[in-house]
Amino acid sequence: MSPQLFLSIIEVGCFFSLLALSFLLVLDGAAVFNFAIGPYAMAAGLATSWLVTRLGYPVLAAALAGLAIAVVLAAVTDVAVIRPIEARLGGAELPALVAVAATLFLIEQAAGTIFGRGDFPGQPLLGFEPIALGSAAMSAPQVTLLVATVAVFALVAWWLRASRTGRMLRAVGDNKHAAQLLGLPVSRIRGIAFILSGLIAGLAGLLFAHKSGVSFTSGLQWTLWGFLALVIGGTGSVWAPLIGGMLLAAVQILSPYYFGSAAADYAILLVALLFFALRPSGLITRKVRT
Amino acid sequence: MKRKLGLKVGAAAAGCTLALAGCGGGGGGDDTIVIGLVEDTSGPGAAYSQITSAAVRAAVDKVNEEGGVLGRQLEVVSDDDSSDPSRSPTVTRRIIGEGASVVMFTTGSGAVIANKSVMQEAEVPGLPVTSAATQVIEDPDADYMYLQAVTTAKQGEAFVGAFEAIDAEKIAILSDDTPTMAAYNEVLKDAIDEAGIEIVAEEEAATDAADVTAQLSRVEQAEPDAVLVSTVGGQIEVLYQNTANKVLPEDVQMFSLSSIGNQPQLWGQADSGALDGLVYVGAITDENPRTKEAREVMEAANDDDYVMTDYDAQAYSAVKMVANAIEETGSAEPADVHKALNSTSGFEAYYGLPDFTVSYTEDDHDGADGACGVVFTVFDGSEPSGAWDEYQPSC
Amino acid sequence: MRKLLNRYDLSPVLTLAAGLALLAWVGDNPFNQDLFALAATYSLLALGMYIPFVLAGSLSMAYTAYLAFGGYAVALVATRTDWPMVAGYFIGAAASAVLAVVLGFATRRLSSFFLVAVTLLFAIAFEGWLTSTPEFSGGAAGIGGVPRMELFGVEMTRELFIPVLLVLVWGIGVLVDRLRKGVFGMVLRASRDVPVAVEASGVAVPTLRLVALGTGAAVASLGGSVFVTFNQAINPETFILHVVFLALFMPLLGGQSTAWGAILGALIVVQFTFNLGSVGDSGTLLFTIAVLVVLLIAPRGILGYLGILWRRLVPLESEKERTHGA
Repeated sequence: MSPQLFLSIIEVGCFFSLLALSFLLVLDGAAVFNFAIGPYAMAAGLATSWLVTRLGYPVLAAALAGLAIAVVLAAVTDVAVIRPIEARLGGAELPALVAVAATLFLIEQAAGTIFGRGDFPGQPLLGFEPIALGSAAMSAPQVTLLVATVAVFALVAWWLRASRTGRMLRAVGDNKHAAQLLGLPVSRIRGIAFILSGLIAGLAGLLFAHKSGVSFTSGLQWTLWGFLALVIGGTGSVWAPLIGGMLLAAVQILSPYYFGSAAADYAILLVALLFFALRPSGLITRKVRT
Repeated sequence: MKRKLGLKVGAAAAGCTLALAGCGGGGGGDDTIVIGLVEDTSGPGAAYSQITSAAVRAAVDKVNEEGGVLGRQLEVVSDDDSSDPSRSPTVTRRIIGEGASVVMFTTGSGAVIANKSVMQEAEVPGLPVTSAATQVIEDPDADYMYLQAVTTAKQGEAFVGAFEAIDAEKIAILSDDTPTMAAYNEVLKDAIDEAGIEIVAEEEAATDAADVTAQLSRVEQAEPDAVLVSTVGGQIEVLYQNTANKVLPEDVQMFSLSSIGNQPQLWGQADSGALDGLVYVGAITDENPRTKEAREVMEAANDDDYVMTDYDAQAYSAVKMVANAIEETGSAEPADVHKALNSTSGFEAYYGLPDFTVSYTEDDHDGADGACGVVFTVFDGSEPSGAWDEYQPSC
Repeated sequence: MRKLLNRYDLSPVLTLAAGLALLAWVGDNPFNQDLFALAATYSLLALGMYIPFVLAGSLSMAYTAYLAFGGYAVALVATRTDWPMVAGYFIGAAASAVLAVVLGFATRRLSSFFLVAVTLLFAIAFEGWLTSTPEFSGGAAGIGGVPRMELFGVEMTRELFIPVLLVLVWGIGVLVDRLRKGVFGMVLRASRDVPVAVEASGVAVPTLRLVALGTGAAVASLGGSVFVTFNQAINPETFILHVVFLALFMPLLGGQSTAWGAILGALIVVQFTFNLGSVGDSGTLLFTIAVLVVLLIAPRGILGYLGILWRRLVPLESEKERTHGA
């Protein structure tokens, strides 16, 4: 395997991992698979590029605005869509899922209407010369994505372990009802989970957009990747999405390398079926959650 | 040209009736000639279809400015089909219902193919502006479709000429997973095979793939002399070009289809230097005086940072050709336009090399008279710089 | 009169009347015929989605594959065999049912999200497979030139096929609505809301769900079959992934309380995509906003509220009367 392939797996894996971590936080905080995460990432990337290329904003200011949009979208999804539906229907999964799917398309179409329906180039946050690694080289955006991923995972892990809110998030994730009985501020914790999740998804979209650009339709595919990475990694630890993301990237890149182009779709379906059948709670589990 | 419709959604059946009663109103009266336009403003082809449709409208405005056709003004009646083959025929029937003399398509090839039977049944001529898919004019139901772009088969011949000109004996093809490209590649590969040029690698990836390093690594191992990137454009094209720039040796000549030239926004998406030296199937050169004329019209109709694309020139050419046909036959009835188009001979197109012409007969709706509608165009830095020196097809 | 209204379920009569009115409106206008055929396809799709999703709470996203099964079965039977074209309808339905059961079985013990994921992946992989098997499926170009279907020795032209479509959709609508009200439907709905209770009473909930998934897939595949019969061609991109999401929203818009809501939802979607779509590029945007609004503030859907209105006009005389009547 060439070093270039290895670098690609790391790069794509970082992106998948961040999306999966974003899924995990909402799953822990609110017991919802938030399928609108891909569109948050898309919105952040698209808004940033639009602000830079169309309005001439400096990249950093545009990136902050992009992240803010992702965070606001996440918070609004929780407060205006998921909470009202849960309040009315109790714990049923599907109505919330349908609402989230509608939100996914709403963000997609709204982004298309506001920012235009073309492709936009990603904007590099930092510019420096590529770093040579043997025969391959890591470009500035690749390095930025890698460093950001490591930092995000380390920070979230530290936050979950060391801060009061972080510890409570795990408690809420384990059993919302019990947490409520214990008097934990379930609603506040859940809000924080959504905001963090939006922030991480936004960062992921922002940093990955350099690879081939971003368009208003990118969101659905990104959601699927994040979800699969989560399923493969499991929900047992904050590190699980990282492992799931890297494994998914490895399958996606190595299967066409060894078995030809057509293999990627089939390989992913096969991996998903295998995991669902044999290890539905992922590689890293704390307890079986169905 | 959007119809104003009542939002009577409450009672669906009644709502349709009301809305459709509204639809009938906009049709062509005695003083206008309706040019139908099926475009994609919300689907996967939106990026290029909107550019091309704008060019169609600009060309129509120009014709109207010059007094219209037969003393009547042209009126564009358009609708969006999202490049969705299951919806496109319905959109087209509605436009035909509004009295279109001819229907132009700037939508995806799949959707155009789905419209063949519609045009056949309605006996209205159809003119795909951008599509080059041979299937559009293959039986069944191909009597009313007029292809003007250089077909895939002829593009294949042009590519063979280019490969031979640079002594490329081993070719690799990179494609995406869309049915549109699968259909293209079939024809392209036949032409390359026939010429005895070896295809040493063939890779594909999804249009929204995250990474194509694996595909390029396999291509690299096959050691091709030239690589043809054959995609619908968009992110996958950029990803291939960026990755090829990293993985392949410098001396491998990169080729691409028209999509890269017709999507200027892609040029900024590629890494700096990734497109340098790339040769693609363009369609415009200022050596062609008519292209120059089209450029002046288009530039006047657009703002300062406008860049004319191949599709713009093709759109302009299509409108001019239709206007000519109507003028000659003296009637805007679809049947007469159909007849007039069928006897189009040696129409000097507004794109391609200077001696490129378009002709039709009753049995042959492949309009391009030879492969010189193709102008191999080369990138210098991150923008196309003009015709390629090494080789150009001849008619 | 009031007794009569309450005693009998008038929905089949009312809907048939509405259908006939629609037929009169379609007339011989080709555009209207297209809209009608598309509405019929979407209706069958929505009814197919309604059975597992609304009744059993199982969400499958492989519906583009089921549509394609139905469509390709008809196209293949018509162009490669001497069998009557109707055989394609049955083959497509059977294949779809089997596929739905297999995918449902693989994820039977998991949360509904896993079924969503695996069915979605299947749909994506299946489209790729269709493109890569030209010998079997015609590859990217698909299968064209499908002849008109013959039914009882009569060639089904576009005009003749329209009333056949009406009868088919209406008939399946009646059946699905009966299914909803019957024992099977009641147990299904109970298994969705209180699976433990149903399990305790000796019914195997997972098996029940598999049956619902299979039935729904078969009904949806008929949608693909009629589409190809009407349009005489199919290719791998004929049914794109977005259609599944439309199908998901249709029963919600129309109203979940009856199967007719799914059909009404399908009509609304056709209206949105073809008529409101031309207001701007924002047809889909308006549509998604409408879906969210319905979900958030009008969860009963249109028929749900019409039903409430109806009950105001024709109140039930007593609970006893109703049980007697049913």
